Amino acid sequence: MGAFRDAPDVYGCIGRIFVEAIADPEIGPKTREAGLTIRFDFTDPDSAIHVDFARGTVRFGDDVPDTVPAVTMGMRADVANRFWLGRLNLVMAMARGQVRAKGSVPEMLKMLPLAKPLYARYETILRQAGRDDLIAAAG
Amino acid sequence: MERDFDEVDVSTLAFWELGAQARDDRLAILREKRPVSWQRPAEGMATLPGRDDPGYWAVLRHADVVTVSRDPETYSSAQGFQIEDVPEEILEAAGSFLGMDHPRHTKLRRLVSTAFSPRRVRALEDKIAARAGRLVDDLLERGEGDFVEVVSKPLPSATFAEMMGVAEEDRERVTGLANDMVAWNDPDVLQGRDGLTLLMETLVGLYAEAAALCDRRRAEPADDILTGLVAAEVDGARLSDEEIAAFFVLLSVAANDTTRQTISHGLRALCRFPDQRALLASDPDRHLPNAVEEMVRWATPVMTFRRTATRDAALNGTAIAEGEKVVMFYVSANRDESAFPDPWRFDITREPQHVGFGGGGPHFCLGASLARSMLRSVVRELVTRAPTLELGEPRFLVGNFIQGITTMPYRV
Repeated sequence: MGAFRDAPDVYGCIGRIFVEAIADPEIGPKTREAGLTIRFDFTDPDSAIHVDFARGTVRFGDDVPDTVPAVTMGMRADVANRFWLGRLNLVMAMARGQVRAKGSVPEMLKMLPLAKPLYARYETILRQAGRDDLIAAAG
Repeated sequence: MERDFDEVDVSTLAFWELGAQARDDRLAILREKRPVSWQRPAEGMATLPGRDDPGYWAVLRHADVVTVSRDPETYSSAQGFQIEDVPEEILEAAGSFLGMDHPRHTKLRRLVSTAFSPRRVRALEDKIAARAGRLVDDLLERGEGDFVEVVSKPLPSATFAEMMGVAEEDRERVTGLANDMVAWNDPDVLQGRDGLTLLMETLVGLYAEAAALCDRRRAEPADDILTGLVAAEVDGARLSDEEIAAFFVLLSVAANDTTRQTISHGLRALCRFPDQRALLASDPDRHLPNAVEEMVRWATPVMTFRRTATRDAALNGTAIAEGEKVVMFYVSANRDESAFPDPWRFDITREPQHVGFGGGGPHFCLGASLARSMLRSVVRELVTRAPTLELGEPRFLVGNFIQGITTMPYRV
């Protein structure tokens, strides 16, 4: 059993960090400039998030478009939770098969530094939502 | 601070593709006139497009490379070690203690340094000599082929794998990944991929090997470096698998992409300077130690490493500002006329104080004793048992980091 209850739970936590990143006065413009389109396919629970940073849109589940994004990443939802808490080494996670990435590596590398300053924000999202269990689950 | 880039440009990939001697003609101008020059950002495929990179100081003289190497408090390794602006995520994953300063550097390096001590290397010497002997048996038996595949590559590959604990069946894969990792600017290796994709793929591949090895060595300890690392503690904490994997990447690249090149360049030099070959063959015991040092100078397998100034400094009369990148051109320092008279003469009787293992200081090559041991063994075997060895035109690796020979035909 994963750390998230269901797909809406994933969207309320992991989805929300993307929404906040885009809206952030400092990080938002940088993500727009990087202009990445990325799709996340999560398992446990099955869920999907599509982010178009150039347009500033975040779409969930059935609303995820069919178009091929620059980067697609597949992982368990709790692996993504660990990433956003700053507790996942992406290279090792890829080596151990916990994260599967398809698409442009340079595009992905352009975005990674923008994620770092958001780790604390994600933790705040979880705390405010009363989801300390997700912080504990990340180890 | 805004300043003009030097008119002698050593940042383009076209410059690095010139070939050693033509490249050095340009470096020689700078060595003489502007030994510390401000250069535009290095071109290369390990850099993300659109990054804000002001440029770097190119340090070309031997004495200045030594100064930078021995002053780690002013010239930090912790903010990148490549001439190109490689993304931090990759540097962190691949660099381990190479990309650290004291005290973390000291603590992590100490974990593996005993394995490379002269005493431990002496204990390995018979084994290395026997392996070199078998490789030369193979070379003679085949009669012709690719010198790199038959001799240069397998010796360091097998030596490293055994010390590290890499299983026999995984060795070729690990060596291939380590070789590819330093080829991010070489179109033949890239095969249409971009440099960052190659770096990421090889990193993930080496991490997968390291992760499997960590699991195996926790279950079955052995007498190897990996077993030591999974048991080691730093500041009261065990190393994470990620830290061990970064060690693994650093050591596999350091082992597989350096000595291999020195063997190839060194033997090529012996073929191009038959008088030196004859002299070495006339009394190997006497000449080998110096010949090996001259080969390391001649080959300079690592051409550049970078530091970053932690404070305002002056280097050979040039003012360097805090935060600026400082790149040591070992490839130039090892041809510095003021340190090596007639530097383009391969001379096994000189006692070169080269910077082929670095310019001293805390980052001096950890594997220097091991490299010397491998070089002595294989060169001795080749000069005594393969007197008719001829080498054809090599193919050189494209890039600004490793001075590589990817293939080189031979005949005996």
